[in-house]
Amino acid sequence: MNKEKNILEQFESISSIEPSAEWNDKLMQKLNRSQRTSGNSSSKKLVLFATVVLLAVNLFSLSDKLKSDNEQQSREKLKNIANEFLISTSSSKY
Amino acid sequence: MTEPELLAQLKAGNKTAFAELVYEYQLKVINICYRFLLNKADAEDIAQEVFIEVHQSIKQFRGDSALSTWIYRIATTKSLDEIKKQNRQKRITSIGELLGIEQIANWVAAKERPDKTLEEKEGLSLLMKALNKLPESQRIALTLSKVEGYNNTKVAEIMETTLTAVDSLIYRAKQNLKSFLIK
Repeated sequence: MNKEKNILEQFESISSIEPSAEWNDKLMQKLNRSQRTSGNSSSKKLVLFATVVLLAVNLFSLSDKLKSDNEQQSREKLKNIANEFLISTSSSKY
Repeated sequence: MTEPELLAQLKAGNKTAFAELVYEYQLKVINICYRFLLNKADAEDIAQEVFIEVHQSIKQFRGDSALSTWIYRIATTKSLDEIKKQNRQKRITSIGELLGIEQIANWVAAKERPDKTLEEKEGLSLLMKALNKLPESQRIALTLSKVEGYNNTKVAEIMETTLTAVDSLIYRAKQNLKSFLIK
């Protein structure tokens, strides 16, 4: 029981502390480090954004090309079918 | 410099204003962290992180509360995060000890408090264990109420709650602490 009382008293009576002499210097060092890191991270974000934009543009042009290729192919197929149909109709006349 | 002036200067990235802010609040911030962490070196480290966070987020500070309240809230959150981190490390050590991995046990032993006597260490360890068992809100209310110069109104402001709630939290925290320590 005494021990518990002592522990509680210890908690109640914790006195204030003063920062150590090098505390401010360490803070400035950490601050400079964090600014460098955040600077790096914003340039990384910029590079990432540019990459995403380039990828999106490439994908868009690729899909556009595929689409026009498909249209071209379908047009040719239709042409072939029409040609065959014309041949067969003309041949049936004889 | 008045608080709105200081705030405007801080938002503009003025280094002198930041130095003034650090000078004004460092003692209080270090002592809030110390009350939570019960270790000077850890308290100093976390207090530095608090000011780094303040520096990084000052532009987002909308002024809904006093600047001091906002800073002390950051100090409280950072201290609690550190406690959670330390508790995780302790769990890893226990597993390390169970598995007989000496390096892990040594690593944590090196982080223990070399500046305290064995009796003090035992007391602090018991106190930490008991505090860890408290619900977070009770722990915050009790700890902040013990920071020098704080009254329960200030604690209520930091915790964004009412004075009655803080009084009740502190009362229950004390009761719980006693029962945890007696067990």
